[in-house]
Amino acid sequence: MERRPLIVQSDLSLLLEVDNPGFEEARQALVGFTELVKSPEHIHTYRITALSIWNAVAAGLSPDDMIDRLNTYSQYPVPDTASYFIQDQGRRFGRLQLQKSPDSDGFWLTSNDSTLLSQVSRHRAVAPVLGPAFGNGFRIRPEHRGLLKQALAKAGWPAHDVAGYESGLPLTVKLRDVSLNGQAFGLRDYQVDAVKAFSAAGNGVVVLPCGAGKTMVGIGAIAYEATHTLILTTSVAALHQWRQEILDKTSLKDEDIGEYSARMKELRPITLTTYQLLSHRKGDSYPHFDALNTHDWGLILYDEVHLLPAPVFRLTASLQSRKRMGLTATLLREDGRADDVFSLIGPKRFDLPWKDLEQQGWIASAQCREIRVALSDSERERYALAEDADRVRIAAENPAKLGTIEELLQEHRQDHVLIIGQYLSQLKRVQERVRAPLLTGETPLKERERLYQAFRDGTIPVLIVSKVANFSIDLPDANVAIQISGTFGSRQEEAQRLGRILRPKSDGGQATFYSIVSEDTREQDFAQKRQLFLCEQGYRYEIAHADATGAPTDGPQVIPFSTYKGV
Amino acid sequence: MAFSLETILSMLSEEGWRTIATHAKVSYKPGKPVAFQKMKSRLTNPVYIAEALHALSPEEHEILTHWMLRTREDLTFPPITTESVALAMTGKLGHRGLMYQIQTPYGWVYTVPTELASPLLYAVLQHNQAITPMIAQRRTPRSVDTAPLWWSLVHNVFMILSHAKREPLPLAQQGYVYKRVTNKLVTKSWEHRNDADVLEAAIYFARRLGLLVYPDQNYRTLQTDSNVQSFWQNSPEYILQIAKDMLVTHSSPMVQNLLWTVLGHLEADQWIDLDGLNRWALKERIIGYNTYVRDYVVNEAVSLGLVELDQGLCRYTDVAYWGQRGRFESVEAESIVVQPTGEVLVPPSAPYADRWAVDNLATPVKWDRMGVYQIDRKSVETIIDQGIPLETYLDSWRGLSRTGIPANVQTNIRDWYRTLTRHRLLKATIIHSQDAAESSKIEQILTKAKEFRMRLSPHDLIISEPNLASVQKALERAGIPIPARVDTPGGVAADADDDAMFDEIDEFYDDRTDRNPGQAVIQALLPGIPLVPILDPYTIQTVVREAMTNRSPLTVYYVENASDKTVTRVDLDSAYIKDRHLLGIDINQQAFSMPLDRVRSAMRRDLP
Repeated sequence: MERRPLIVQSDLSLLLEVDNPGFEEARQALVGFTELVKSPEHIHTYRITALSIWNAVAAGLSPDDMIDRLNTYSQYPVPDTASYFIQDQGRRFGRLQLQKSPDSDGFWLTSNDSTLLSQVSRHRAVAPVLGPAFGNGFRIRPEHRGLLKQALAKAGWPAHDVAGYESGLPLTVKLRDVSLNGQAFGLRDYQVDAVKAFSAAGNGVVVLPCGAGKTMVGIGAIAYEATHTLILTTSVAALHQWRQEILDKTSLKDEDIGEYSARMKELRPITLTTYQLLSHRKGDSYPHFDALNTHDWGLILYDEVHLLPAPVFRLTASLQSRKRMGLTATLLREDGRADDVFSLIGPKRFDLPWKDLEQQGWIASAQCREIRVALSDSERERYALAEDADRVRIAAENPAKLGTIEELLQEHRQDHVLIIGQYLSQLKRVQERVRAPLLTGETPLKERERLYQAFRDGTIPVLIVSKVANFSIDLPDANVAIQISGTFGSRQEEAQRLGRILRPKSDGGQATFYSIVSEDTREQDFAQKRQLFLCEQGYRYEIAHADATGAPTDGPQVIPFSTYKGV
Repeated sequence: MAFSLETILSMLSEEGWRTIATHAKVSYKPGKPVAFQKMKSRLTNPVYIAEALHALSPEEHEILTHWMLRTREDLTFPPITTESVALAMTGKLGHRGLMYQIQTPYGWVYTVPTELASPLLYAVLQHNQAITPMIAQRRTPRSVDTAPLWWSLVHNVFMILSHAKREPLPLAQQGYVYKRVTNKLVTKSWEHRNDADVLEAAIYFARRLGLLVYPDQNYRTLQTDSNVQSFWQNSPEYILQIAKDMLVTHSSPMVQNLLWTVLGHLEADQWIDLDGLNRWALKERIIGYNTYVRDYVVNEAVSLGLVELDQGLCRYTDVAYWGQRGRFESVEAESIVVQPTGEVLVPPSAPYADRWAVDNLATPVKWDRMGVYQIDRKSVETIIDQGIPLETYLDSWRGLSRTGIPANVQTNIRDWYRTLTRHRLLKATIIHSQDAAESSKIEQILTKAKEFRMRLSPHDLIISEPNLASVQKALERAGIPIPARVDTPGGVAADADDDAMFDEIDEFYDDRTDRNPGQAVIQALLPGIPLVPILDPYTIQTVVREAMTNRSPLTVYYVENASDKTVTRVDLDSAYIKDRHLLGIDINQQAFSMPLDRVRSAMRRDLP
């Protein structure tokens, strides 16, 4: 008998063999009720979680269907623990329903199971957001809709929200067949699938790699929903890029799109703002949020949803009557608030492995290289004697990295190179050495956009950027990124930085990502952690070594082990 | 008393061989050895046994049934000396090699060899139409059609050995592994339904096979035996057979023989009805059978993963059912995957030995059906501790992995090796010489004596620690005597409570140290006292301090008054210093107290 591609572990993780002929079919079968955890070269790991089961049940898949799918593709009998978990969690979703109140006064949490209602009403997190008992359930105030869903999900009894969404003010909008700059345009198949997956539910998150066209998915959703839309972005530069793309790809005119920023406060059918402005607080109130909330939005788009700041979570809890779409490349929250994204923005509706898109040519293929640079004797001594907190900085700012940067720039003199770093002092030293423009948070907005444009045009071949360029910046022709320092072991930062160079190249060329770290320091350990997400997505890091001048070496000598034996 | 067919055939006369060979239709040439396997295979053949039983008369059948089911659990039967139906029956079965007459130190008996017990019992049960009432009518198909290589007992034993290799299992007074440890392992076990009984059965299995051993004479812990690798070289069939045999060796043999026999003949989708078995066994008065024993045996078999239970029904698990038919899933060598994240995945079809090898090479993350390991700095550190060189380590992975070692993982391994072997903690015994030339001379002597290890500095040599006595002897012969005492750098570590006391000693003697430290002098021979060196204050300080640190008995010479010249000796079993007095208990259990400034000399009594 032919081997089946799946192994179900007793801890609810699923291991799917890529080289197996049944891989593709099995993957399709798993998508509906599992979460892709990692997808390296040979074996992909999925996980069954309470959230993934609830999502699947919400989408109409029964627990028995899920177990059948596992049985179909599993090489060995499905462990009882997995079957039991699916049955148990599957029956939880839908037992509680959140509806519009029969008397039209707010909402109503109801269930056929009065014991369950009584049980959740005593839960510490749920009780404060329940209104008075009403019929077979509890009255819920509109502003508590999100908080209640959040609390019930944490209590393990997710509510099925059938109260529906406000339709919002209508908007006449069409996608162009040919963009303004004269190129043929149409949503790619996976982008259409993502839009459909979202629209069927009305809320949720779309996860696509950088460069795969998340903005297009957002624009597709606007066109599909045809309603007034509020778009939340991470920076003003990103906001401007959204504006440009919407104008380029849709029938909307300049006057249809408003910018709500520190500079101007326009409220238009499509309004763009930033998280920072939205969460700006004055006393007890959020004036900008309040101003924007008065408008009848039919859709809210959260760009880079993994960066959603905590105050925006709270504000989002009161936006539950609007359709909400989150966009991200890495649904990794280093603060562990992924379940808040689930209950407030919505569950993950669409996800594609990075390597799949690379194989289909939708994102550039990339080579990742880590270069371990030695510390000079004096730096090594400084590092050894420094306090723990200072060591990270000393390692990150290793002067030998400058030599390596020069070597790399020499090798990539025909390419468009981004040098990305964390520390301004280091970036300034790099600027002095390589004589390339530096773009940081201090750079005025106009100057930033000028530099980005010059880089896109090719007049600037090398651009040095601080972490302001980690996200949402579209630099299509950048094909080399050199990361010289970063935020400790942040996996999402590493992925986002690689993302800067993943947009498909006009010449079909490959992108190269370098991460320069100081050898035998904590920075090297952090690099291991930073690379995890990308390794799990199937990227491989080649590792090279450089000496204390930054010049490449063949690699350090390994001291023959036998020397130590016998003493 | 039970006898195996192999033992019996090896003792059989040529005539006996020929008789059986003739009846069994096995070719036998006198003077040439007949393959034992060939004979065994013939004698255990169900058709052959059925034919043999067919030749018995109803009365003979009756007696055989009585013997097999109701007489003795070890299937040895008392001798028959008179002509009878029973004698005729033994003769018929004896000629066919199914029953033998054995001479023991206590007389002779009839016996059925262990290998024939089950097939003969089955033939008897069939003849008596006893099987049908025991089989449940419910038919449940099996979910797999081969025995999985990775099954519960193998998994649990592997997990326990992997755990005990890193962290020995602590034993309670009664000799059992502590419950908290067993329960901790249960949570890490393959399927959470595995309860503590299942884990304990696996621990018992591992102990019986010598896979878990006592690491020392304290018998407080169990540790994985260093030769456990050889166990994992065994075939899955062999390990399954060991599990079945192990159960038989420590429990009621008749009930187990009965269960194994019936279970072994069930169709893939059939079950034994335990109530039906009970009714039949009690009615037939089966020797050794009662409900308690039956439940005990069944539960033990369940714990070992050989039998599954379902609402009063039982049958072989997939592994026992297909395994006894030799239908194990195929072993896939070199099937291990090393991912670029450093994660190592060991599929359930990998050879046991490969999985164990990975367990030695990487850090376990999850003992599950698919074993998950991680190549990390910690695992490389363990490997370095075992003295495995880098290239050997990398070669091991190359031999195991079907995907090779990703380049980044390989570089990480090389870097970890380099950093972890750059500095090491070494324990060494050093001979320190004040004179470099003399140190060089010692080196020459010890090189000849093969006790020299390495030169540390012009004044310091590292020597072999275990052979201190022979080092001392070699130097003494060469005219370089050396004290046997081994000093530790910075003096011997003292208890915190002793610090104040030592400060007091140091303070007292510091004021009086007017000579070069360590230089002992003999001042005079004092009347009435054997040759006693009068030491300078520094040396007395050192001696007293060391004696107290080591809790050693002490000999002290003192004067009664500061102006006295007569020195007195006292032997103290213990001593301490307080308020500038040396206090202690002497060998006559009398308290002793003397101001420090009256102590003239001291020496440890436990030193030669």
